[in-house]
Amino acid sequence: MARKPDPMDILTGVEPVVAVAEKPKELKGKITVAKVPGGMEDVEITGKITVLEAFKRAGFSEDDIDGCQLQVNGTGAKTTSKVEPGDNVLAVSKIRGNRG
Amino acid sequence: MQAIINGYAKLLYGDKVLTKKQLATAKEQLETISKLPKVLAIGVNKDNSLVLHTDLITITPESKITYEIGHFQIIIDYRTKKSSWSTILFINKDRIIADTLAHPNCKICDNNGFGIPCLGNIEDLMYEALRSRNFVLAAILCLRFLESYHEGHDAFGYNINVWPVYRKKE
Repeated sequence: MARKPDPMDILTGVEPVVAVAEKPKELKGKITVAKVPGGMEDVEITGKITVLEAFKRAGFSEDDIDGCQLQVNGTGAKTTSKVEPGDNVLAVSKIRGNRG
Repeated sequence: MQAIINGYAKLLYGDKVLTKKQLATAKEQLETISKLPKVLAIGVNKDNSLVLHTDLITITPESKITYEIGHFQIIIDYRTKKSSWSTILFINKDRIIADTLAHPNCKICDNNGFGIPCLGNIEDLMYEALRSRNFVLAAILCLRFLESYHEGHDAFGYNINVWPVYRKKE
């Protein structure tokens, strides 16, 4: 039975795995915290912090993200979920296209 | 896969010689993008644009009906920095509605089938994400945008109900 294609295989065909060094998890680094509507802020953190703490450090209050859908790297999250350096944290209240 | 990593690293860091750490960062980000919900495939075009292929996109407005919008090719072109209008394109691979729409919020350019999004209230954030070369956030925003619909501000006079019904809740 053929294996399920990896998402990154499809455009290039399946190739032998090429050695690219795995990036070691860094304890210290930036996360990107964004809110729609609102803006984005890069925040330097050490180790893991909660989503709520990430928003607070980016200048958003608990009220600002109340009722928003939260995501970490595109996956649903809670205010208590943990984030680590390199992560993208997003709060979306309502996307409204065709504003004009 | 190596070609995609190299291409993506060039998007992130430009044409300079890349370090192992930069290549590892590029690989890590590509893996994050490839694992995003609805992403089926990713690639980097020779013209340095990031391409995502999505699974079926549906929209459920505040009603009991889910509408089928289509499978999309998303092109995130970093080179053009003037505005988000020219840096993000959506191609609906399944259908064009009323010869005009690739998505409720995307109008088709003449002849080429590319949907130009009206990004509405994510436009500034998208521009910030691209300016800082945060393609993970840009990809997340594109996917969220495709699954959104601005009720009461239907594109170009067409309502969501011109799209095929995917599912009805009883």
